[in-house]
Amino acid sequence: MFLFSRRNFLAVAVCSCFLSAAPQAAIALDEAEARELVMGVAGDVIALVQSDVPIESKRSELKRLMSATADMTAIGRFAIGRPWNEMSDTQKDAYLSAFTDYVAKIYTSRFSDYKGETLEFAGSRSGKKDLYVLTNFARSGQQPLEVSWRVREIGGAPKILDIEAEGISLLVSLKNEMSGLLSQNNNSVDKVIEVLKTKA
Amino acid sequence: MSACATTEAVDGVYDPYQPLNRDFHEFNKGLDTVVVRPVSSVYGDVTPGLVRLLIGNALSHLELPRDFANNVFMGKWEPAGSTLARFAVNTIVGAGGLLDPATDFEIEKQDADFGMTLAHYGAGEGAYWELPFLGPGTTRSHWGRFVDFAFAPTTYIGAPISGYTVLGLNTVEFRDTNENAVDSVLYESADSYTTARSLFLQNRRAQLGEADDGEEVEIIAE
Repeated sequence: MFLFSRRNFLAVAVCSCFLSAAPQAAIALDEAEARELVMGVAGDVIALVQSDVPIESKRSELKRLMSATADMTAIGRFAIGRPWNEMSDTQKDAYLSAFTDYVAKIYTSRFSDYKGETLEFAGSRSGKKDLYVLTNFARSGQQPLEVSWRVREIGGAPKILDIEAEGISLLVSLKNEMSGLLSQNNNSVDKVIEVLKTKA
Repeated sequence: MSACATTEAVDGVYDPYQPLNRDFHEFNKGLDTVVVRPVSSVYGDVTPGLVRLLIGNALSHLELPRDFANNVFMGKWEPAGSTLARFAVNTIVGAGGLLDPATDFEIEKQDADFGMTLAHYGAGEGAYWELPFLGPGTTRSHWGRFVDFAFAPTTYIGAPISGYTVLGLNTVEFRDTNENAVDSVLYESADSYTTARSLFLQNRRAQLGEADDGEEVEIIAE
């Protein structure tokens, strides 16, 4: 449609694709471990996309995978930004719960266009604190799409913090979206939580 | 972004016309609901896969003059040359561009548009604009699209491959291929305007090598 080039949406969809994985054992984060986590996530999500279950089940399954393999607290905190420090514990819990439901919902839809495509490991690189696992997403008739997964060891286990493809970062997208929501709602965290709940 | 360094708003976005943009966004959304989405859905249902493959190849082929010209403008000779090679191969061996043997020969498409050329010669990004019918863009990218459209050979060929036909086909082809993703952005997002803007700007800046250091944003995790 008129909004984007084809490529933008591939990126969106791929970002949306892989926010989940099998739970992992806890040892020091090395490349093999991060790689296993990421490839596990990929496999699970591809299976989820191709499964023939109702969309509600897909959402709850994606939510489960996300919670198990990504640090939704860190992601949610980053997305909401500065207000986090002034939020009460009750607000934080309510926000994180609504945020996670919301993310699971929108990304379930966004990845459902991408069926039958395969992912392969394409190396890794180290950031300051995090390891970036690179994967190639093979697409028929097009060049493979490179997807980068940001993984950090948190609480003794590797956790996914961000997924990036074609310049589009899941984390940055969610942060932009939350700051848009905040400014549309007079910077009221409670209102944002309400909106997320109605949208989730 | 040097262009918005002085007037930078939230998250590196320069969006001074936001109220107007939001109105245009609502217009575009309505257009999608009433026209683009239903038409694309019918198009997707009635068009056989093979035909769609051929259409996709043809649409990509028709972009090659634009890619070539802009690669030349930027002095990117190698991509320009391979665009020329791609055009020749797919025109001659690929049934006038309906097939894509060039990709099998690893002559990849080298996207280039006039917005990139402007960026290459130092033009700033400008403001973010969501325009009616055209969707998200920046001052620079919208001007780029206008120039590319004005100089596209297809703009001056009559039906059935006029510039507007190409635009329309690109739209429905894209809309149907990404049906669920577009639906999600437009109708499931808590703030579809901001979501569309974020996705557009991140992708475009990365394409132009103008992205902020996005990957190394500081993330606090206990």
